[in-house]
Amino acid sequence: SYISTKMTVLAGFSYSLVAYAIPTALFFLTVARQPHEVIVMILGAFFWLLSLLIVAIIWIIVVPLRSTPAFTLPISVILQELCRWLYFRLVKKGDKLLEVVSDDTSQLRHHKIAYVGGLGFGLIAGIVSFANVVEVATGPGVVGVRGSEDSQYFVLSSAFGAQVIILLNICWGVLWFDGWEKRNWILIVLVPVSHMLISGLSLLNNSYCPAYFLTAAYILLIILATLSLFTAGARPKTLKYFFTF
Amino acid sequence: MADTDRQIMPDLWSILIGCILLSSLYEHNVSGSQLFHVPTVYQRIYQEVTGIEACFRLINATSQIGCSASPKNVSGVLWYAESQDNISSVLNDPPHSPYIVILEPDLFTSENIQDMKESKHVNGIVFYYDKQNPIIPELPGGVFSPGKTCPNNDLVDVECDRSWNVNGSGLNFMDFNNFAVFAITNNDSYNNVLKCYEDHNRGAEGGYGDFPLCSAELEANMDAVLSTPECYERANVWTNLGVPQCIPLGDKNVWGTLFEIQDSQDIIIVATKLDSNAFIPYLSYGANNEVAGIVTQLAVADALGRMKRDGTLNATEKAIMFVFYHGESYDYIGSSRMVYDMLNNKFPYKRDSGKQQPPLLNLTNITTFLELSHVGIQHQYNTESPVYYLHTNQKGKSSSLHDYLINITNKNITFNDTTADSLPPASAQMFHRRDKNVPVIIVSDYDTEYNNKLFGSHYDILENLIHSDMGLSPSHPLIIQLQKLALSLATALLDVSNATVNGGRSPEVDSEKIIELLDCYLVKTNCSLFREVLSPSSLDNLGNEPLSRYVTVNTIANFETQYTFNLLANFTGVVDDTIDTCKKCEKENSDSNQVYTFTHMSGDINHSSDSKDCICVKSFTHYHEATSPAFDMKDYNSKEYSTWAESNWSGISMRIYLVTFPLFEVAILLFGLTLFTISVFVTWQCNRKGRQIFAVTANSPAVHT
Repeated sequence: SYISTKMTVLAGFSYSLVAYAIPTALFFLTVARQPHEVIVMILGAFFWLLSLLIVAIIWIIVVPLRSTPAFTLPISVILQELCRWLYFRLVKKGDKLLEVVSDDTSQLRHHKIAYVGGLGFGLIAGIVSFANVVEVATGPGVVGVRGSEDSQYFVLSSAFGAQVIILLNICWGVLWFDGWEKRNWILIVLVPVSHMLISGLSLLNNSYCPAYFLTAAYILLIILATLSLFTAGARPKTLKYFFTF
Repeated sequence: MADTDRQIMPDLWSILIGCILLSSLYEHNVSGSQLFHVPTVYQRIYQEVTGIEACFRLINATSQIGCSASPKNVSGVLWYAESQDNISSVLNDPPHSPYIVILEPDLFTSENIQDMKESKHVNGIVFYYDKQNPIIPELPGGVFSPGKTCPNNDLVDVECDRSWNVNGSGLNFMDFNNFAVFAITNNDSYNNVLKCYEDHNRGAEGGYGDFPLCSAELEANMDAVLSTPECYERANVWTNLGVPQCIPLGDKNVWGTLFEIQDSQDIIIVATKLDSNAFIPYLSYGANNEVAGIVTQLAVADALGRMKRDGTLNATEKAIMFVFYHGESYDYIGSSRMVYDMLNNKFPYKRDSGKQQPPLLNLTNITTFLELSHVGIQHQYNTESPVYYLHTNQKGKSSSLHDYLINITNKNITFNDTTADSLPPASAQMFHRRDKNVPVIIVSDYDTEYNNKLFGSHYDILENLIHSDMGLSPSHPLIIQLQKLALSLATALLDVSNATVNGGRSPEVDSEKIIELLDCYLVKTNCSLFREVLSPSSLDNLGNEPLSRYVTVNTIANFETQYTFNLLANFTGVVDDTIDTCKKCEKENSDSNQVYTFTHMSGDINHSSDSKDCICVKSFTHYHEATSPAFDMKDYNSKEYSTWAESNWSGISMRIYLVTFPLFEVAILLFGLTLFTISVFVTWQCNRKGRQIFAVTANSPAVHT
């Protein structure tokens, strides 16, 4: 009964589904039809990679601190937000053109673009952090050979972690763009601070109990998602339209 | 912003490192104590097993033998076989088939291995072997001989009319396709494997456990298949770039004389075989196959060499040639090559008038061929009056060496004629089949059946000769036996070769030297004798393990060959006091002189004091090519000469990991699909109703700031 070996390629696919199902659905249904939005999204991915590149260079230069994730992590968060800001500046410069191409003169367009940018940032972050885990998970083994040091749900919690990071990035995108657009300092401070807090929380976990990180991240997600929806123009009474035909 | 972008050159390595680092961050795996060592995902799932010696594939003219884990790696759930019952249980419909069996060495019998090979429930076997302190396990009857009943019986014109190795099962020459057998020589690795089994697989009452189960994957994919002709044929196909996926076995023979060989001089060859084989080839130690013979022969060379150096021995009418043949375990590679070269007028060197060479030798020059084959295990192993048997092809005819040995008295050693009618497997067969007039004498400790119950196994180690905890000392029975044998042979050789001996003195065989040689070959190579006879640069290769004596492929030079060469040179040669550095000694060897060789050795110099860093030994010791003539003639189907070759492989490794029940992954798949379906629904609906849900912003015109 060597079902186990063949199943694990399926396992890799299953874990990928858990992590990327929601953003994939979001992409295909809300972004893929608008070419200009696809371009904006890929541009967002590029800016995130830029932040990664700079962090990597710093990591190479500052040799003694290479083995301390506690150092690299704040730097990485700061650089991601910096690149998100640069990305915002670039998108704002192309605002007039986007207005013409999208044929939409309302304020909603700004938020749609922000959402697309956040999705781009989030997807690439999710891919980079989780893809190699999936690749190893497609082999015949499951986590656990080291005994009590690792949980058998390691890959699954990594998948949820990737998923929540992607969704958080979407919220951060919406809030960040709106904050800079309207000089709303609450939002401008909220995004990097919450990012730093949730990333710092991941440092304090061990792999056996990622519950702290995941719980906090999902709670944060609910809060920020509500805030993003509000910023984008949803109100309690408009929500009823979701349930209509 | 654009300027700063241009100055940063994209560096693929930093991106890669950054990715790895950041992904490890997102693994949320860092607790306070782990801040400095973050294991990779791979390390959380797999544990590599190190210190592996594998059973691998060898091919010859007609068949393939050995193990290959192909077409894909061999894997299975671990099962620990401590008792014969455990083995029967795993062969009889176990629940989580297939398995990799961790075998206790006591159960390593030919029957068990074959049963497991044939069962579809077992894919591979691993067992523990301590190279530094090997011990012989409690095998049934003390017998485990995976060799053939008549070794090397494949060539034409080789005599083989009885089962000399009566306990032989032939396991070493069987085909184990889609099966892997690994010896784990690293204690920590082996304990990890056992621990993984204990923690996860051992069920109630020592029965079968339940998921998650510890499994192992063995990689040993052999590239060559079927036979040697097939291997070379496939090399002709353009897709293989013309490179055969196999390499012929071979190495070098070592031979040497005490004095320079004169033109038309008769020679007496004293021979033994240098290599050994076992089911796991790199665990071939062969204490009685033939370390005992090598040690005895070297002791004889040493005794005669000392007589030469102190002036007692001036010359011999017939030349005494000591030869160590390599590759004999695989159809007499070395000896068949020597005979072939002799018949083609290429031994010892091809005629070249520009060089100083020893005279060409042919079979007609040989007045006696004396071979040592199995001399270490007496029927009564602790006797101090050993009995040896002479196997000869000159029955009934008189031969001076044979008669001398038979008639030895009052030395507490006896030589008897064998009761068998034919020659046993030995290098002498290669000479005998070409010219039945070459007088052949094989000296052995057995009459008609091998005394070596562990012949051809990885347990043919020193303990197989000693049988007890008694350490080696000059009063140990084995040392007494070998010393007497060496002494008898030395005096016999002096007599038969018409040696000119001053003062009628007799040779003296040094027991201490025999002890040292046994220690160096069979216990650990980092011994004082090796340290003296090797060059300073070779000393780094010495270790705390016995000498592995598998012949390997002919492109690799074995340490054993070099060590034996240096020993023979040291024992039979003369130190040249005028040369005191290694480099100068090297330079003395010139291409134009093939009569003698200069070998630089560490000696017992105090290296820190003088500028002298080597002693230089001038001797008549030589190497001789030991590759089968079949490969030179490109006759890969040959039945006359050895066609053994070793298959190439791209990797031999083992790793252990856990597997879980299949439903676990199905559950995750279902969850993922549900998640996807729900998110598709929600998104689609949101998208449709977007302008109504986000009415506040959708209905306000954009403000251009």
